[in-house]
Amino acid sequence: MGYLLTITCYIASFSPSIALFYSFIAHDPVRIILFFLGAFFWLVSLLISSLAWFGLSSFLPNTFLISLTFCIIVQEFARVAYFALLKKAQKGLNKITRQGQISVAPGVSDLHNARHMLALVCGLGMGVISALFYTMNAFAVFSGPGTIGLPLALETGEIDPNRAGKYLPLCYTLSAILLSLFHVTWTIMVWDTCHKIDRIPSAFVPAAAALISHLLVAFLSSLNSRGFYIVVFPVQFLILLICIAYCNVIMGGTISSFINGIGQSITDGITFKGIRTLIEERKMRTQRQSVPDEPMTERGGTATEGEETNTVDA
Amino acid sequence: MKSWLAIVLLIGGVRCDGFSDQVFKTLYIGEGNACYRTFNKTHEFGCQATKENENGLIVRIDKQEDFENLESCWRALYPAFNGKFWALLPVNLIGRNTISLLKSSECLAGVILYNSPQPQHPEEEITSASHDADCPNAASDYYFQNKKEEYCERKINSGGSITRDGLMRTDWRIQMVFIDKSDDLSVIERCHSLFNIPKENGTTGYPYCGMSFRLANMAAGNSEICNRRGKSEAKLFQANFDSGEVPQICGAMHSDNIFAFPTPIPSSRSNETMNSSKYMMITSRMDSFGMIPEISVGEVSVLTSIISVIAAARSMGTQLEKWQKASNESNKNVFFAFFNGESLDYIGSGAAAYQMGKDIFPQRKIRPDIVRIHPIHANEIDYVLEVQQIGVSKGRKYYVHVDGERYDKNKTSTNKLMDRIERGLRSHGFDLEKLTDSGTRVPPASWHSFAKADPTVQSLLIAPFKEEYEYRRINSILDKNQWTNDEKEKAIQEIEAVATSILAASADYVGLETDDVVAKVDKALIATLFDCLIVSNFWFDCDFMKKLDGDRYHKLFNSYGFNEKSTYISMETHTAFPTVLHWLTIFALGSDKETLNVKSETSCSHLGEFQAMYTYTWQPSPYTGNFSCLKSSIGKKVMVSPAVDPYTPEEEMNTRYSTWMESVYVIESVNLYLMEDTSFEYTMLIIAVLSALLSMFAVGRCSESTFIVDEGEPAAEGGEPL
Repeated sequence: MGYLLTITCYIASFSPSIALFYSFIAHDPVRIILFFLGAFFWLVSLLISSLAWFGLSSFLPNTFLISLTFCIIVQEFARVAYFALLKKAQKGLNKITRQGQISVAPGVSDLHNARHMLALVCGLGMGVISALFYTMNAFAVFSGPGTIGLPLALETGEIDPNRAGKYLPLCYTLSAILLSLFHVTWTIMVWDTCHKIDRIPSAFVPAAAALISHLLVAFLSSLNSRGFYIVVFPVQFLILLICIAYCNVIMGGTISSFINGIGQSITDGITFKGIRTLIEERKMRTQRQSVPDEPMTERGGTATEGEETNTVDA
Repeated sequence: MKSWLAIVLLIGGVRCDGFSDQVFKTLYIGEGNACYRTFNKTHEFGCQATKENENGLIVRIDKQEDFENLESCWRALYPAFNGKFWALLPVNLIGRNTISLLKSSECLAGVILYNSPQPQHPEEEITSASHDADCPNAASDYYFQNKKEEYCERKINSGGSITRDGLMRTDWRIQMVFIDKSDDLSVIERCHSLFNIPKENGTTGYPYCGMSFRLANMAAGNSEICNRRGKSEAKLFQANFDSGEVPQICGAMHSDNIFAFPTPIPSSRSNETMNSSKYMMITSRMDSFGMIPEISVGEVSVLTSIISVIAAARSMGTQLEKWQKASNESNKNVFFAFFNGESLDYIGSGAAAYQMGKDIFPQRKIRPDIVRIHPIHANEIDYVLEVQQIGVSKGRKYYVHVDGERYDKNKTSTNKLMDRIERGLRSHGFDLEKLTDSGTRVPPASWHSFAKADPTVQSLLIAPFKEEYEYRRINSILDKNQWTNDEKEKAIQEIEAVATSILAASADYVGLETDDVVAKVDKALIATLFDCLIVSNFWFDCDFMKKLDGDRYHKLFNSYGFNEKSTYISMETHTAFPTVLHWLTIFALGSDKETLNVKSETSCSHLGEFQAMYTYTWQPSPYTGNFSCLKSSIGKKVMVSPAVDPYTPEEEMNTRYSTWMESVYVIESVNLYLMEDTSFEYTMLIIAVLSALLSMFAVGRCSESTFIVDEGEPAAEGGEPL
């Protein structure tokens, strides 16, 4: 164990989040603020959950399942609360972000039709902070000389392979990736419900899907401690894929277009389309530069005095 | 660039210890339980933590044959591991043939020492277990300083020493920690047995049980450097602006010497010096040391001798009037001196000799309202009567060591005293051999400090060895014995005989009829003190000492010397032994005959105000536990070697005195943990690169338009999407 492991764990865990942040948030100050506000809302939900857990544990012997369920519900309420806050603030935000002479903050992206973009930004803030809370203690341990497991092993006389071992960093990393991306999808789903709840009777479906998938994912995670890593992670990734597909549908796409998109991405990835496109563009640019200008003679330049010319007077 | 910056901030900013209870099994290590740095004027000794010797895999060395694994760095057992090792080692395996292996090993981070479960007996022949040197120390011995012999011309401990210059004088590359609690030791052993013992097929694999420990010293180099850097003016810029304090990096070893005067010293109200008295100083050293200094109990190095002196003092204390009368008539006095730091170049006696030269012994500062005690000078001391290593004589023979040259100048009175000593020993069935040849040299003893100060001071050293020490565990962690009833009885007889001989010689010196006192050593007291100071696990475990304590002792400091049995001097006086000995001396020589009407501690302390000679101590009787106000002339004085004492700058680093110093150190707990295979780091690196590439690819296929969808809502198109 060492700093190399900690650094690689952080890179692996937060690469998707960093890529999303870099592409859609980093260039926009308002989005950065909303990103961190999302993290704050998640922290508040954690605080409330902790207080509830503290209270429950004083009179209930085993509060794990109740606390976990309560924690998930509070997180979803935090998402709703964040939506409500933003809804109240959007008029003001619109004044700031609208392009043109009225804007007091030129350079920020305007908010027109940006419902899902806001959900992405805020959900990513929630996802990153939850993944960070989940992993940072473990990753800090990985930077030291030891790994998790000795105190328990000294008590029981044997090491628990499900709570220790050399693959532990990988498990934390995969969980962090899942957690940060799940929060994005759940926020998109819940906010879609919040947006449509007054108008469409079936609008509760996305929020219900978010809640159920959140509960399911948390339940599956709890199975990790019993050694079902190999089953749990593929199932969780499958659920993530389903959630992303559903978000795609919410954003106006279809399942087939989503599958086609993935297929096309895989094909492009395998055939290095991006690299080929880059090379072709470069080649075309080079060819364009290598085309000669019109010859000087055709421009009818006059010969200097005393110089012989090939032109023949008619 | 932004994302990289975010990663750096994330990694740099997030350092939590939230999982430490699931990672580490922490064993608390107190001050004094590990090897640290000490210095003399020219060298540094001891241990220091570095990045290389903090962490390691725990291995066991249980027997001599296991040292073969140390030579091969345990490669056969742990082929996949290429780090360093912490060796779990019983202290009795540190010997001449193993020390070089420990010192030279390239793969050792450190050793975890523990007391061997096999009991050691005082007369057991253990080869070379003493951490002291072969020869008297050249830096402090009277004969070397006066160029009367070359270094190591005369060996005194060649049979016992592990290394020629002593283990205390070794600069180690490895760290050492001593585990004294059996619970902690069993945790380490369990951790080792669960993960580090080869399986039936002889192989081992990850995870391994590892350990980390760190002791960081503040100082380096030698005493001179440390002393210079430790001065306030050198640390001006390190001072705390709020408190004005400057951090200490090292300190002089200092502790209390105890002086007890059964007979009053002449005193006057004027400052004029009266050179009218002669003295015999009965001494015994209070300290011993080991490789890890604090964990040396010093049973034979210190305690048996002290018991004999205390027993003699107690006999004297019961008949004080007789002794005082004889002293007044003969103008000769005896007094007891327990010197601390003697094993480190005579810190205590060196400081006392210095004070005698400056007219400030035994009274340092003179207040006009206090009677001035006549200062004792070195030339007024006729004899330094010292006892050493009592209780381990071969057969029933003792030796008295004198300085041949000085003896030749004053044979008559010295012979008379030696005869008395012989008579005292013979009364208990022991022989005495008088080593009085003109070339006879005195072995290491407090006398050397006074011999350097004055050419007439004579030595009478009573010890069970002739030229070289017979006991091979002097100044050692192993000077801690299991005493059988026979061994104990013989040791008590020796202590009694030596106490008798001390009394006999003292009585003869002051002109008291010897017969009156010889038979009055309290054997029951000796047996009690033997049980309390030697057999018991701590000073205040037995009933006698508990009553003597009377709830006055509080374990204020979290150090080995204050909470366990130790006779090391240390630099912060965090050792209990001077207090123990002070109370025992007051018990031995104190009297409540004149203070029977004093019924409270406050009244007792008031009696001591403005007193020069006498102190009044509110102390319980160790027999009844009842407190009374004991009048005595006993002083417990903090002594610092003049060479390192900031109040004696004119003697700074003068090698006539001890230059030993100790580094200030920070000690961390021992942490046990599981070590995993580091090869997985590279797999994770590949996963991280793949994750990053995949994320860039996937997100790169999206754009703003992926998430900004025109759903035909007028408000959304107007900029209010929610």
